[in-house]
Amino acid sequence: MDGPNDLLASFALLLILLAAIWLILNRGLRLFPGGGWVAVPFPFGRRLLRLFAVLLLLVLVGVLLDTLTVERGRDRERPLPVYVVDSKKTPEIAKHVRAALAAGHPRVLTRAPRAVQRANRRAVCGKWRGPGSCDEYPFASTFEGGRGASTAGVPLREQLRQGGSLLAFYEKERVRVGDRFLVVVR
Amino acid sequence: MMAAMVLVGRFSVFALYHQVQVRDAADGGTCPEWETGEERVLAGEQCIVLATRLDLAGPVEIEVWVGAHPEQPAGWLLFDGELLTTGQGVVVGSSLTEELYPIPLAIGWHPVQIYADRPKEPARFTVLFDHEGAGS
Repeated sequence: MDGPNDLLASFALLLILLAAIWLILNRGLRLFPGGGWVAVPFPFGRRLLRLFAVLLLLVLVGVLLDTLTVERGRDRERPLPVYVVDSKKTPEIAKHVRAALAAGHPRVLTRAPRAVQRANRRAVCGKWRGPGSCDEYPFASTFEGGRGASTAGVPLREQLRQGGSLLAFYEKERVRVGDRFLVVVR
Repeated sequence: MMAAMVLVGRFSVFALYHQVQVRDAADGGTCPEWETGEERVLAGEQCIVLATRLDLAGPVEIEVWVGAHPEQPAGWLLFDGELLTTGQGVVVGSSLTEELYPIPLAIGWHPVQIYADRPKEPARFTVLFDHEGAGS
């Protein structure tokens, strides 16, 4: 549900749009012979007219940005999906993720496209010499992964399970490239 | 009469998390999940998951053939079963990275055999569809 700020913003937007429509109709009527009789006189002069024009422009730009950004366009429609790192199934990975989160790595991640995933994996674990298989957090499959990510050696079998569960999560929750999700350790 | 064997494609895939999939291209089919992480293959009705060599060791090659084959391909037989397609053929590759290559196949159950160049941590797979004849 929208908060009070959203309601206030919607109300302000409505007022500005109504004022703009009134202005446009008013000036439009004056273009026709005799239309000036129908149109209500505009008493405030050109300054107010310009102010309305600027406000209208700002509102339109705001609406456009609002529609185009992931923040409001998509994420607001649903709560962030939660990916659970299961400490029973993948204890070493869970330990690593918990430590990485405690060290300040982000809990909210954004799924990245293929090229970013590959680059992240190579940037962080490309020179890994063990022991174990190189695990990284934030995940290589996210924009937050890559240089600066935390690394730890984990058993290969855990990584297979992690990959499977991450894929199942992405598909079940329909997490596409650019979508954000929350990571928790259980 | 049996159809001739056709090489549909040879794909090089970055196998993130050391696994690739052969799966129904239509949305809705879920892949089975690893129980122990020691398995080499997981098979569901619409998805087969294959453990590969380490992703950092380099890309994995997947060769896909359709039709009856005159002789058994070289390598280890990892999987011999069937895969269900529900309308858009199958895809092979990594679902995690969405690097998936389409293979046109009719709707229905298709016999599948998958061979690997070595039994553990393979770098190359040969996937045979309808090697027993046409799909049902």
